[in-house]
Amino acid sequence: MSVEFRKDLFADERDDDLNEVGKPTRRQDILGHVTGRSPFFDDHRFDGMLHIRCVRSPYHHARIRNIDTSRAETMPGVVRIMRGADVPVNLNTLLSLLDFGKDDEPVLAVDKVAYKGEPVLAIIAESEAQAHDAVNAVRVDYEELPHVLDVEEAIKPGAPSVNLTYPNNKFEFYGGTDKQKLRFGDVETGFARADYIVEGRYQMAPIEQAPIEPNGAIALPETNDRWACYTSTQGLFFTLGTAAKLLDVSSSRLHFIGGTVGGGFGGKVDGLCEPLAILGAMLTGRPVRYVLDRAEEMQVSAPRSAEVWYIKDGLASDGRIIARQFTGYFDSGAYTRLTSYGVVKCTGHLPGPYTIPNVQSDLYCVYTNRTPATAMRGFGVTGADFAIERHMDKGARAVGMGPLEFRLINAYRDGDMKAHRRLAGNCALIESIQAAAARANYPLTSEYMQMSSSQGGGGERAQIPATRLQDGSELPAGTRRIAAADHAPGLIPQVGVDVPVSGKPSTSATPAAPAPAQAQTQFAASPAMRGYGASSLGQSAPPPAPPPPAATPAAEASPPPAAKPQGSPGPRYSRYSKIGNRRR
Amino acid sequence: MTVQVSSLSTVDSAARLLSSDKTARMLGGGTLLMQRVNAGDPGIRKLVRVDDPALTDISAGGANISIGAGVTMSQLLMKPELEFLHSAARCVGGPAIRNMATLGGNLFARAPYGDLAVLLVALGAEVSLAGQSGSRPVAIERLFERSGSAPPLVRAVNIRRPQGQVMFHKMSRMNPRGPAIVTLAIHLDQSAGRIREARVALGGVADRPCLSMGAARAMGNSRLDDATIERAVTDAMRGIEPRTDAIASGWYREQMVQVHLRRALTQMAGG
Amino acid sequence: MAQLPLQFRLNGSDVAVFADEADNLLSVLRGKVGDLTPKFGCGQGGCGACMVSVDGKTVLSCVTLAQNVQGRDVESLAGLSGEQLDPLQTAFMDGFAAQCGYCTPGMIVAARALLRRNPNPDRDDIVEAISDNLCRCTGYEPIIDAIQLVAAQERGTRA
Repeated sequence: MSVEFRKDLFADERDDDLNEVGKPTRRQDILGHVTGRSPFFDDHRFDGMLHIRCVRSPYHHARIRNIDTSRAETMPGVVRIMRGADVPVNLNTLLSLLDFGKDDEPVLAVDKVAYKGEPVLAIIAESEAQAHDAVNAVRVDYEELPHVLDVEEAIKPGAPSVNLTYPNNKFEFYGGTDKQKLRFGDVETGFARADYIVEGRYQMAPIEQAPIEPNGAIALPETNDRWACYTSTQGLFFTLGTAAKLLDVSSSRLHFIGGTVGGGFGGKVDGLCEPLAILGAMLTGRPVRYVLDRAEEMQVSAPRSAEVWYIKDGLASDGRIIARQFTGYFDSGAYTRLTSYGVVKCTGHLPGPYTIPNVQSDLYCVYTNRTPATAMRGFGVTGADFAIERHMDKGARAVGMGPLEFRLINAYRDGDMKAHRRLAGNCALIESIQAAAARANYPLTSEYMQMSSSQGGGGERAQIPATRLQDGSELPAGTRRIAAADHAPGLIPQVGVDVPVSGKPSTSATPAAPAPAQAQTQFAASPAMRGYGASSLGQSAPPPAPPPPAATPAAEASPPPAAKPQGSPGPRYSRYSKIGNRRR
Repeated sequence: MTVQVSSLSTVDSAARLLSSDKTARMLGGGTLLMQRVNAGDPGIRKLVRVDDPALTDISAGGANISIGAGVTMSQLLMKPELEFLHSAARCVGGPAIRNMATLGGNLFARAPYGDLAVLLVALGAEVSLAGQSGSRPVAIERLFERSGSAPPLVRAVNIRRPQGQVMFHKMSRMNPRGPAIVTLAIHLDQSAGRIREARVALGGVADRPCLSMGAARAMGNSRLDDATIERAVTDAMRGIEPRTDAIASGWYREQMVQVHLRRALTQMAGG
Repeated sequence: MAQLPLQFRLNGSDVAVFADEADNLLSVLRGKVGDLTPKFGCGQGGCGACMVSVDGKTVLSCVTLAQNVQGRDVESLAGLSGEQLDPLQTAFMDGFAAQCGYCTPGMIVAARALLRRNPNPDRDDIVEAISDNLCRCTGYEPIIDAIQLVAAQERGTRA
């Protein structure tokens, strides 16, 4: 494989003296991989190990009237049947560890099921085959309820309430708003000035991560009243914290062994198997293994959310995009896993890598009776990019330009102001398009070949326009930000919160809430959530957060699993500063 | 309640057992059946293994060919005399699947599997059934018409060595190994420039392989010219409701049948 | 529960275990014999992580009835290397042909089977030969490159 490095584009990024980057190297764990000796969770076997299979809902939405386990209980090999009532804290939302969202999902359904495949009972048996047989012998009396499988249907008046925690089928973001907003300039003015209006609707199906190793865990009692858990999780401490909360035990009593993951791609952060495996070990005193089979992996384990997008562009006849408006609906499925975070992350990604003076976005995280959705390779970004880039092609056709020329005209250049009030730097979209065009023999005229990311940016393009808010008020032009460290200690400085120093705050925020939080809701993604995973999420802690759901001792005992200490602002790693030679 | 295994030495005894026990299934290569066993399918309580040499016999020397139902795809591919089946046998799974998957199993595979069966339908193959001594072989497509009753146990597939032109084409989104969107098999028997018999079999469009009666009628006793091809393409899906599933919509399947049938017939007309 | 005695050879050694009647070969290898090199990925013969050879022919052990290998020769990834690694293993390491490593045992079993039956595979032959094996990390290219490299090396050694 030949790789062409264009280091010249990033010459001012850092000294080019790295020892490993850009050079072939062996993975440190690869000898185990090629000899089949790497210790995946299921490569641990224990005497007397029991197996879990779940009784799952055959309906998208139903009330549970009665569960009859009498036959299953007496079947050979059946050791224990776990119900929702056996789970110490049978309601959770993954990001509750980070004070984001309300607890809305049971480990085992009690009163109703909200998606096909939702677990109702977990049967522990001596063998998997016996557990299968017992599952088939359970009789659950369901009363089927109307269901909704489409995001736009789900938010219409009268739609069935999927998730009783959010009866309107919409997640509540910081400040209690039902959408994540982005406001930059005034799109209506932009549309009025535009020569062309281009509108489009785009949609994406859910995408399953399909790791070759399924989700699973083996738990067993250890000494000192602790439990060990061999797990496939991608987020070891995140899942440990989740299990500690659900099982109402101190996290210090859980010993997680993992790190060798047979592919995850986001599909192994939800901790589906660990809590039940550990609970099984607690209730039986024996090693308990719970592994999804492939059908469950496809039906039950969470995919990337489906998305529906509406994009409206106002274009000038010379090809400039002068206004862009987004309305997006993310399908969270029946409960909140990580789609709410995907929406926030997505908002920080809009409007794509293009300099547009007027941008508005309203994104919704919607509940439907589909499988809960979670992380999956660039979730919140890839779907948006698909919509944006399809829309770019449409815009190019509308103004009669080539698709690459249209993108070149609008691409970010160094010094441009992005819609979330950060300056663009080290841009390389123009150069990437030029290189791609050359490879594809796409004829770009010299006018376009001579464009450069380092020229022509800034100036007018660095201006922050006056911004129209929902209530009709206006933030004056130039309203910038306050450094994050000034109002929320612990945030990563360089991704500071965009808040105005002046102007009227959003009407949607609660009046009592402090201004920074309102602005956070108003403008952009909570910046600390840009990075993936618990470590950066852990620090966002928005002021108007609902009372910590973790009024349970478990949560007190298990602090948010922040892996990286970020308690102090720390050094400011500017993208422009030389980090210098750190190795030698 | 766990699954039992019965090992028998003749296909006829297996046929008796299978007809008397609804929860028993004949185990061929296992590629489809063992999935259901692994998933704890409560409808399967017994697997029947048969160690009968009749099941793996191949008689392929002359015009009348007989192939035991237990012959694997890999074994078919090693027989040069059966070259006319190779294009279809080769598109069943990858090498390991072909080492396991049997001819008999392929006949009972539900869409999107069962590619070889589509070719066998086009070739007018017949099956001889076990446990029904003296009964005549039945046309292969008759197997697919039965529903409800327990499927019969196939001992062997009988094929007349094809005269005329044979064409097989599988369309999949994944290559080299993926489920079929549509599978197309055509057998044209021409004499004196006219089509004596045309058999066009389709896989993937319905749950089981089916014959396109519309295409056959459109081509019968005609010259294979552009007008005939257009008639065949137009009529190919008459009376067939293409299925919609996760792999493709019915609409798309219908379009693909027409596109690939036109291409195939045009190529056959040129050759 | 009735268990049946089962005897076969695994990587050249005799193995005798008791197994449930309808156990698949993968669960016997992993659970009863203790050879953990074949992996469970799907239980449907769809991913190739459990691939082993029986009498020299590759099979998917998760859909192979264990009773069917009675008296036969089974070879897993564990049988490919002794003191020395198989050249495929070295090539996979050097060429970054494994990321999570879960498909790797089946992938190498499939690749060795190919090189045994066809020492001169072209790229299409390799793609076909590993078409039973799914990999979600690498995009296959480094795997194909590694197999091609070993094929060339082994041709050179023989010449």
